[in-house]
Amino acid sequence: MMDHLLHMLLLSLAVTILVEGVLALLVPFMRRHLKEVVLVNLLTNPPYVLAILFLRILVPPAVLILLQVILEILIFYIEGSLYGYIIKRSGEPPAHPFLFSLAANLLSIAAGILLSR
Amino acid sequence: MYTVLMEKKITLLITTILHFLVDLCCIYYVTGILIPLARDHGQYLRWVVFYNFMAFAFPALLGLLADLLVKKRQLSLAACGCFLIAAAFLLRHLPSGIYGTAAGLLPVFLLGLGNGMFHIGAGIRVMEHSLEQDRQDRSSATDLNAHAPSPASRVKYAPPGIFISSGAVGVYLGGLWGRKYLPLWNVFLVLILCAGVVLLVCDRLLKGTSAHVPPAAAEGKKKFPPMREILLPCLLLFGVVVIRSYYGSILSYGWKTGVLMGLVFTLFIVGGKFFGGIAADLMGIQRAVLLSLGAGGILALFSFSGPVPGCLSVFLFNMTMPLTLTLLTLLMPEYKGFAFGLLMLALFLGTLPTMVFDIHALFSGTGLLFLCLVSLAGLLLAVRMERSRL
Repeated sequence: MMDHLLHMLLLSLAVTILVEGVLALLVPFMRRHLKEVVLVNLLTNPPYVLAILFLRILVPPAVLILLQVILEILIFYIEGSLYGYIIKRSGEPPAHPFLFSLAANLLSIAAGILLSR
Repeated sequence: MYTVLMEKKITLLITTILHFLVDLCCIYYVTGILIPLARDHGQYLRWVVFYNFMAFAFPALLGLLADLLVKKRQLSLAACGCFLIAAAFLLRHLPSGIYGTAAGLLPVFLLGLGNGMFHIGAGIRVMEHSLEQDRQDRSSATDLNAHAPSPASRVKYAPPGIFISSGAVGVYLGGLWGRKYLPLWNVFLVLILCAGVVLLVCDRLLKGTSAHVPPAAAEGKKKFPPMREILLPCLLLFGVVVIRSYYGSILSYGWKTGVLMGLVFTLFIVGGKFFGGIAADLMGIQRAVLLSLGAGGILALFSFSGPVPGCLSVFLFNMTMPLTLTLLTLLMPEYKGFAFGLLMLALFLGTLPTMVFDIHALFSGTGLLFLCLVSLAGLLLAVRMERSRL
């Protein structure tokens, strides 16, 4: 079971970093911050995946979906805040860290759904 | 300059040795004196939680008060802590009936408060030596690994690591001797009283710092940095320490049996804390973090198979302790006591899942790897954020 858990964590992390990394390369104000994008996702993705795996065991499916949405919103906010701090401190022109976070997370979710099929 | 350097080294040596002694005495008290006095396991657990609260959670407030009120007499504060611990040892002779009442909490209160006061007082002095630099020097460093050896005034990660490392040996031996109910309380009472006296003498004789003190701080007007600047990196560092504390509390490997193996394991923990700061000073903090948590996480995957990967992974993992402490102090350099206390609070919170709820989830190779990776990300982000404040 632990091998399966490790597989799930690593796969999810790899897909998330790949998707959001490619998006970061395409977005001008995030291009310089690729390392930070990797680190932010390393920080948020494993706890998110673990939380969902535990919740799947503990709560019914309808509640799980609601909690998943709440977690996604939380992740979006945390990542947006982190990106905003990093961009602001680097003295770059006005950027849209929360917009990037929203787009990145939506793309990751879509990629995850596609892969699960 | 030579005299100042010697005084700094002497202060570090003394506080490191006394840190061992204080933790030894406190854990001996908790395991060897409180257990026979408790009427049942529930009462003992309440005492332990109360002690941990006073020793680890309360110091955040204590540290803040020390920053505002104590000024230069930090070692005297540490000495007071030793005397409070001695008072707890004296109160061991209270009639056993009292321990069933609220008054029975008094020795536990004194023990925990004394422990906290020692850590804050000695910790502030050690961090002052570590941060004795001009921030203008650091602002000229654009390389994020700019804490390679360099002349004169750079932040040093080594002193806090050296100071912190000795506590783990004290905790181990105190627990070992306490559980065997060795009659050492009078020995420890004398030793802790001597420790207090030594600290008072040191505070009088060893100034040990030609610290660059910003004029505002010298006049007693300490400025807390703007919250929007430091909140995110502080939260990241706090979270990393909570994770590290939880990590440490769930390690109960099957191969870790017997006194000898327990001692070896403890020495690897000590070694990690001791060399973590030194490694950061030599190779730069980012490389030290990557080595510690990257390599440590990979080894953690195999840590269940035997003592070699297990001990190495715990050595590497503990290297981050002085790094998180120094980084947090860099974020609020005029509030070193508060920074030290905040991380002690994080240590307390990290032990709650196992201490109160007995949750050992994530005690697996994958779980430990996951904890290492998340800590790695949090710590590296905090480093980058701290650097970008210059």
